[in-house]
Amino acid sequence: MRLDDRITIERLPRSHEDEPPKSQILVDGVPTGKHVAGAVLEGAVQWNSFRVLFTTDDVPFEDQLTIVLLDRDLQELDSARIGGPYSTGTFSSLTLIEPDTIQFRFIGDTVWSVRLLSRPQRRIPFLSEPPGVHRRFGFSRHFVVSGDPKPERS
Amino acid sequence: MSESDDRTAFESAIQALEAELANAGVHVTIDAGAREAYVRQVRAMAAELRAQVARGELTWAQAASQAQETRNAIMNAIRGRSTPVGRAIAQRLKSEGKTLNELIARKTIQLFGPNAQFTQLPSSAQNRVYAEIVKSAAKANPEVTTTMRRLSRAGRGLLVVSIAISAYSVATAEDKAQVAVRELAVTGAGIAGGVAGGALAGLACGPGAPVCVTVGAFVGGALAAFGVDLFF
Repeated sequence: MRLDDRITIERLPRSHEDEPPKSQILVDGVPTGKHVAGAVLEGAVQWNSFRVLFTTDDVPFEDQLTIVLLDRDLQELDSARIGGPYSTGTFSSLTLIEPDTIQFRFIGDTVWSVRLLSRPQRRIPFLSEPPGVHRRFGFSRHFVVSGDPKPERS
Repeated sequence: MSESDDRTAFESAIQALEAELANAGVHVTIDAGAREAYVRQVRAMAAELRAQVARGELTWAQAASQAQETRNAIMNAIRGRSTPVGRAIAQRLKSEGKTLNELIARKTIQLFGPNAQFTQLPSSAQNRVYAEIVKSAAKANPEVTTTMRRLSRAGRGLLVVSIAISAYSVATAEDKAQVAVRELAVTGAGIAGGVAGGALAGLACGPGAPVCVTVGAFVGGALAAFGVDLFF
């Protein structure tokens, strides 16, 4: 597992202001035609033949983090979003822990962990994720997100 | 239990269901309305700051600083306008926002490359950085806004169903006036009970506990609806 500095992203034009941002993935500066959600690449990690990208939406006052796992052909295998309405986060402290875990900070005053799985694992929609982690409806996952986010004190 | 008792129990259950549909619909509609207000207000705030800079009343640096302060104030005001459930969802994650200096550093890199340093930029370029911060302050997360719009439609749908059931109950009743008063009272109590139940659950569970607050809103709505229904 290592940081992947060959990957960059280039924001795609949006048809209207309320459309979630998307970007094209570039490898060594060469456009690949593959797209990923988000506008700013916060970090990229290579794990075996897989790549994990961390992107944010460039909405500094209400940012959400997208975690995307890609296969060797840059096809999306799994993704998750961290964040919530009227809250924001700042991506920092990216740490790689062999053999399969990535840690970082973003929101909720916690260290988030992403444990990568070499093959998909079962999950229960809505129940298998910590607060603030959103995934598309489905019953499998290719990585496990964990963290102990704290609530905002009013 | 007589047939009449069965019918009364059935009608009470239908009344409570109607009240809960209205309760959920009103909650979602209020929170979706708050979201639309938020989107409008942050855009208006940024537009006003840009206009003030254009009129020479503010520098770009002052506008960027004000954008950050005003943005946080709008966020807090909108949380206050949300339902207890909406507020609990908004408070579920402790924010880790960027300071003005962090925003400046980030925008400098985005605009002028990874090696750029804000302090070494000419003042016109520095103003571009500040202007980008003001522009950023006008943005609401589109993913959240889109989700709220979808929920808003669902909320309006629930309200329509609740009103349709009420209209059917009144239209098929022998004493239309009495049933109309009952529908209004029970549904109103369900909505008010839902908001009160959510607020009480929020106090009991603390901030950022949306599941607890949602259960409180549901139970509060049901208890209030059943309670008022007993008077009829």
